Amino acid sequence: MLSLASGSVFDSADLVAVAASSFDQTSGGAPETPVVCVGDTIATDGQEGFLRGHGTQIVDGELVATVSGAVERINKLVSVRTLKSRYTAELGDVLVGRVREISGKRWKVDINGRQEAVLQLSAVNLPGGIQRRRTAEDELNMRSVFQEGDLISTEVQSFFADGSVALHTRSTKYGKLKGGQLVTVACSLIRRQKQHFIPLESLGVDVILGCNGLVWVTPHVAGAPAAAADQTSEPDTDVEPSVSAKQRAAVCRTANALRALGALGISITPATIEDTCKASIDAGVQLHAMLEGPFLEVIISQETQRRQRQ
Amino acid sequence: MQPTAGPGPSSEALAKRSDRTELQLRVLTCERSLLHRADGSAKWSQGQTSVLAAIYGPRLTFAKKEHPETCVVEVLVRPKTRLPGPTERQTESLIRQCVEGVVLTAMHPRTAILVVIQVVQNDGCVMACALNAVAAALVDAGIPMHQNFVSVTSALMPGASVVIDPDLAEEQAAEALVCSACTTCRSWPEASAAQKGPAVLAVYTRGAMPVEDYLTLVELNRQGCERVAQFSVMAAEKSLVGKSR
Repeated sequence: MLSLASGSVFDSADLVAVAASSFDQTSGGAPETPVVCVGDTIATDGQEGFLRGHGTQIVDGELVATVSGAVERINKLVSVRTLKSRYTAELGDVLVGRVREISGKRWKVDINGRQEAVLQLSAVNLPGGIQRRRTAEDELNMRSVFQEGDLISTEVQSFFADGSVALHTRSTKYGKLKGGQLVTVACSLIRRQKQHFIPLESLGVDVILGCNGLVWVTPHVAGAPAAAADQTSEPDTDVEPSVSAKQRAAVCRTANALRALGALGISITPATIEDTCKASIDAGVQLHAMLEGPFLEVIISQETQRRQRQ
Repeated sequence: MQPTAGPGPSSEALAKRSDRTELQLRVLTCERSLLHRADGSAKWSQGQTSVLAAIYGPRLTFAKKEHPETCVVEVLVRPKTRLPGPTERQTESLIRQCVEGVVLTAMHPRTAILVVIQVVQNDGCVMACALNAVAAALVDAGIPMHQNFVSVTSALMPGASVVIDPDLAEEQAAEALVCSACTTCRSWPEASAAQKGPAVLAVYTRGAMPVEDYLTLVELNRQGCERVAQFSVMAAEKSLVGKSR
């Protein structure tokens, strides 16, 4: 089934094609996911009361796709999901973003979306208690909380009238991220789930799955929530937490597992991350070899088995 | 392709096609997602002509450029060699109008879409090829659109014959050229039930010709677009099936 010569030059396009064909074989006689192109009419089976979801519009009473992708139906809601697009925010999403600029009482945060998101001074926890007035002095000291270029974990709080996003970090688990590694994948690969702060104790790492496709990996801290910085108790220190070589290796292994899953277009969940890391340890794969053809084949066959089980 | 003696003034032998008939398109190929920094990219080839298109956005832009209610489209065309000139400006404006015509710009206020086009190889019909590449890249970027579009060029040759999809030698020998972009119309909003088929989105002409010939070329392009649309939809579906899960 997988006919890639080992040691061949890594070509992700080829492998994705191989992955697609091997997944096709698993579906067997099951009905295939319907795929539409831009401008195609989506069959609504003559029912009147369908709801128009993302990626669709109504033309002459017919539901028409505005993007190319897979049709998803949830009860009466019909929407089209694309393979890749910019991140579209939803209320309560956990995100990883980068501070781009400080203007007035707000930070502008790049969240890989259509517009830069806004984190207002009133939406962060300042040192020295939660119930506190925001003074002009706090405004001048905003750089001591988040600087330009800082990575932060936040949550979507609300939307403005033009669709831009307001964020907040009013919880100890959100805040500045340090002492870890960032991996970027397509945001469609990260489904919304109950937990986005995931301690993977078996691997010795903590993972933050940002809904916008940014994933943060740090060494596991026992007992503490995954977010590193706790802004409420102590002022921000720029001292990086010390990390042993073993912990670094664990972080790199997890990060490479995420990159491999991202390259193959396999959805990222705690289970797939753990399985991929364990497979690489079991097979004795070196860290740098995790993104090469032979190991990607292992991941594909693993995913094929997982889908057969479902 | 016929090994031509180089571009020059029209001669019957030069303009004669050896490997296809006057009403035959060249071989089409389309590759998607070639560039990893862009939100969407595609390489479109028609015979020896090849164009690479990249889409960035919808994303934030300078306050000066943004529009409070719609998404702004910017287009940059880069020729294979030399700096962009007036020809490129013209291609840019045509492409911008086409993209603005199909993308749901009101959905993304205060943002911009940047379209960058690099001509990789020029063997005629660069404008049509660029439009096709942009359409494929828009689909790859997952930007919501009313309709997709395709484009075909045809030429009026000396001696009142017409050819579709001319190569560079034919293009230089031609008396007049018409490049048109049509929607891949499966359901155009304004189309009545009787008039189903590609609707013309934009037309570019070069040279002088009688009105009847112009209409013939536009109709020829429309029929050519139908074929290209079939290919473009097939290519898009092929890239989606199996990966969409």
